[in-house]
Amino acid sequence: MDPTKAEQLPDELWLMIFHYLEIIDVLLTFKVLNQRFQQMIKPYYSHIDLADASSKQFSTFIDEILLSKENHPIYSLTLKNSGQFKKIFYSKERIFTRLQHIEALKLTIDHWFHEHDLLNITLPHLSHLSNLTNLHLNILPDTYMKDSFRPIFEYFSFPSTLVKLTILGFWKQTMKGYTTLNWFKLPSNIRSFAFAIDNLKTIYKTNFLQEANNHIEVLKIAFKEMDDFDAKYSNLNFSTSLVSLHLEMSLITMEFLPRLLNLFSKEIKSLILILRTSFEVDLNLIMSIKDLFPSLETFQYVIYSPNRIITNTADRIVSPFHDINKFAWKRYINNLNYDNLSTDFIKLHKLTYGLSSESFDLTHDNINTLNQLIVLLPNLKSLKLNGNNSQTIIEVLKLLCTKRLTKFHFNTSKFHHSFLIDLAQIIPHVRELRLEDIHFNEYHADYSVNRKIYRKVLTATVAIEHVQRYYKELMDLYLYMLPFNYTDKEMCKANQQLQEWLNGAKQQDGFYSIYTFHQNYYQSFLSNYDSDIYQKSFPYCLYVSP
Amino acid sequence: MAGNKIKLQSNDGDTFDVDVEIAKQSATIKTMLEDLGMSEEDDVIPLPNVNSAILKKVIQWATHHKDDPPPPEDDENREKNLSDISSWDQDFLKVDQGTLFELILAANYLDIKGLLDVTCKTVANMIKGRTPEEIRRQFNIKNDFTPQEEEQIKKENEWCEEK
Repeated sequence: MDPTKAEQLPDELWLMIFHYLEIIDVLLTFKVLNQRFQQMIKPYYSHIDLADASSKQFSTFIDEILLSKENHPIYSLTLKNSGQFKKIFYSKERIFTRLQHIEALKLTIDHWFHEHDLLNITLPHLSHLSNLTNLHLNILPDTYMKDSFRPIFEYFSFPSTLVKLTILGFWKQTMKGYTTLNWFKLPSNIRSFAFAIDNLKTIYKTNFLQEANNHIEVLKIAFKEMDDFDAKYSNLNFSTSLVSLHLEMSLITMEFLPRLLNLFSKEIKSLILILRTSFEVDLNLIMSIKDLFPSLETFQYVIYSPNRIITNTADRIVSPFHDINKFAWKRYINNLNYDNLSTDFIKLHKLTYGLSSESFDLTHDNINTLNQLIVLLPNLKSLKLNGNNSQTIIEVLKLLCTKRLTKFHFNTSKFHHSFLIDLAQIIPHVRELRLEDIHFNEYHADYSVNRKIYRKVLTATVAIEHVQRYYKELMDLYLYMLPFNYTDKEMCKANQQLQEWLNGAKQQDGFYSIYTFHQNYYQSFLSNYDSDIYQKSFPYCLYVSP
Repeated sequence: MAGNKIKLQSNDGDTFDVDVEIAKQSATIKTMLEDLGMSEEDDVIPLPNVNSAILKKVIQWATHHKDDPPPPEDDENREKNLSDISSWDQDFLKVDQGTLFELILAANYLDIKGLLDVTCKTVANMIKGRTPEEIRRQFNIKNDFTPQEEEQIKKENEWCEEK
């Protein structure tokens, strides 16, 4: 081998190689190699995304970069999951004090169990970030803004430096048809605000947007569905200070569009529309929109209609709501035209995140459809399979193109004792694994045959042992346990044992969590990252000790 | 026209007859043919940055991928996936490191996006999960830090004690 071939590669090609790696990998690997690489990676310190970092990578990043005496300025930071929030914002090292340069902070949770972690742990400390101008709270896909957040938001003051706020929690109306989100106030320093919401009715029932009329200059809204325009909505008047408007929605009928746009300031200079409709698009109507806004300087639209995509721009429109498509996939997969998947793009557009076997009868040819969907969806990460038993799940997985998927959620009442060993043969690359329902005891009574027999099933402790041994890339493990038919004493003992296992797993690469449920409420939460210190300190914590 | 050939000449003087459509996977060659008005039949296209062995490999790759759809435009939202290298490409790239890096240089010079992607991915796979020392050994990267600088790096990486 020519000893200098790697070093002969020009910087631009090394940067191209780095493009395929996580920034965190690049930083941790190349910062101590030699002067050239040290210089080359300097810009990478500015924008750190830890959303896909493993527990070990995260710890190494904290120790070797964030807490290093060199103290590289970090201007934007993306975090995900409770373990990361706790380490940064609630550890004795007070790591958040090292983030004094942070201008943009994006906090993502992908499970509703963690929503209060996000809010409880992080928000009170944001006032220490004296340069923070851009805050992005992504609490999709399983959760939404609701009244239980009220004390947290009332207790918390947004930093005075903040000018840009994105909250992608899903703001929705309650079952009774109205929302009680009146407690939410937009601070007067916010100039740019992005949020996703059910429909216009939810906005009508709240005041925060109208109260912000004098200071919001950039507004980005994603409506889940615009299916109604009641006459009373015409009295709404949004953001007289508005300069730029970005609207994204599914429209039942195009006729609502001008009436909706009429609610916004006539002085806007920039308008972006991203629409999905099942009906023919009236292009004259689209063109007439310009007449509503005499000061309009730029108008870009992308309309996904049944037969075509209509757009007036070659640019890729950047949408903060890219992730928002996660919320509705279950409903749409039921209506997909399986015979012509590639052209059913309106519905496919929504299927960017996860697929579930719930909509498929996996005993039939639908596995082919599932495979087709996996191929057609370039950003698909997650697959959920429900099976009668774990062997069914294994058999189905053998037939699926799972190479590209990294998150798996399996649900069956009978996970065989060796399930995780068999699974490791098929998806050793899995990054996030959720198993539901796991049992406390090793033997589970099976009444499905003529006589009662006991089957050896997967327990949480065995699951952790197998995960440690067979899954080197796993970052997030969630085990959901149903403690039915067990006494409190038995559960306490099992919980104690599990906590010991998890303590032993602290040095592993992943963030491991175990939830036990009782009558649909989760009763306890155990993890291999610190949770006890914070539980004692925050009044709004939902965790209950077993 | 289908079946038309052109001649590509490596920097060590070897010439290769290649189908025009296969050669046009290289945006560089395509530009030469279309914009610069080079004749497909008579002219030899010199490729001064590519040696014969590497050019042969590039032609082999382009021939195998001649019916592939055009590679997608770069999209920031698209997942970076290191595992989607076809088994043919994996076998094709079972070469020594010198050849692999020369293929990257050639793919870059000839502007063949698919080949550049797959070769960069292969190197990225060699890097992923490795420690700095493993990378240094694997790619024979020289340490040019002075002892003082090394000491400084060690110090910088020490934990800061909170006062």
